[in-house]
Amino acid sequence: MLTLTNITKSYPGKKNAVENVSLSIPRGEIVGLFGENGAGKTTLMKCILGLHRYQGTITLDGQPLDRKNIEKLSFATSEHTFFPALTAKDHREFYADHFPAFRGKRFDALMEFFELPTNKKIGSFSTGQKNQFEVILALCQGADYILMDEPFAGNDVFNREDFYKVLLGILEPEETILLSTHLLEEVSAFIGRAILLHKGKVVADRSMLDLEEEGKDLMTFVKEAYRYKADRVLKALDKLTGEE
Amino acid sequence: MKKWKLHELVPPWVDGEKHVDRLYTGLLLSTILSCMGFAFSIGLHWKRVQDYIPTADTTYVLFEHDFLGTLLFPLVGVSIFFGFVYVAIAAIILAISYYRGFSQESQSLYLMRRLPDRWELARRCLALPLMTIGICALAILVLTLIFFGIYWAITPEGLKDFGQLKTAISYFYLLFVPATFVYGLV
Repeated sequence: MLTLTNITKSYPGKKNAVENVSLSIPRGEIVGLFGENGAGKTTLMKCILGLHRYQGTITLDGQPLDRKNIEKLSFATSEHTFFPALTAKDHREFYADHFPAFRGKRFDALMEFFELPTNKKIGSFSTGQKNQFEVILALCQGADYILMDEPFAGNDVFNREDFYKVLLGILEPEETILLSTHLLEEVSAFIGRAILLHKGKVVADRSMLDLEEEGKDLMTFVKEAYRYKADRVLKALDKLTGEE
Repeated sequence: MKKWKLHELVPPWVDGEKHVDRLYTGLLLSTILSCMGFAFSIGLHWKRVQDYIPTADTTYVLFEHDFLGTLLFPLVGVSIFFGFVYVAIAAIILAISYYRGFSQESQSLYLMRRLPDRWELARRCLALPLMTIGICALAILVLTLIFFGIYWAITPEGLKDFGQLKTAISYFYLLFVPATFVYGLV
């Protein structure tokens, strides 16, 4: 269980990027983390990974996150965390050296599935290939909690669909995904829970099962949570055309 | 204790052997430069001491022929160890470039910061530069002692003074600034 208690992250001279966030994420869940740009999704993930200093506590299975258990978390981000000047083969060796639970078989299988070259520098890959490789690394590190921050930014729709299928096919019951994305409709079919952030705060946290029982789809739920004004576009257009 | 391999002491994309070769070349050139500078300096000292006649004004004579003076390159007015300073500065720049390399084109810094071994990033950025700086310091020390031995051997009895080695060590930092300042300050 990944437990966040009263996490607050502030930047000097700015409002809190994350404010009093408390969450519990049990093993085996696929959790969607949603929010507008600047809502605090990336900041929250970086706090969990120890890349940002924060106030509050984060524990993994009751233990504070430190060097002893940090390998249980992996991270895929659209900023990319691989070494561009190294090949996939080099990365395989690096990960195997540093992460004892590295899943070499899964790595080979995913590389083959996505037809990624193993002896070419990652820096020379297309954006889509780089994203695929980034996610492959996160899935193969051998972590129990896989954090993904907009991992498919720049990938085409077929590419993404392939990935969702693979993801569902390979995940083991203990593996947990925390996925931050704007692609609500695409991921709604396979996430089990949706957490919504707004201006650094959790504004909604619901299981997909509950939503289903209520007869709501993810998009409706998100719109409601954000108090989305459906008529604002029409009003704006009316004003604009009225001016002409 | 783990025995590190060279490729584990530099960033993963760096050809460690190439960098070591370059640093060693720098160290070798610095040593040659120091020896040449000292040979020139000690040559002048040798010429002067040939005419040495003990006088009442020993302070002046000592000042003219002191060991600290021989550690300065008479032609360019800088320490004969200046090459090592350049190599050490290059090593510091190298450490910075290694660190910055983890944030170029990607954020592999995030990966390095969440590795189970907390020292991995520091080791890969600092090991080679720190070793280089250490070798520079050691080379300066060893060369200083060798040069002092030579100086001691050719200096007439009346000018010999162990205090000069002490003075040279006390004012060691001055060897890394132009000679004109050194005499002004000493």
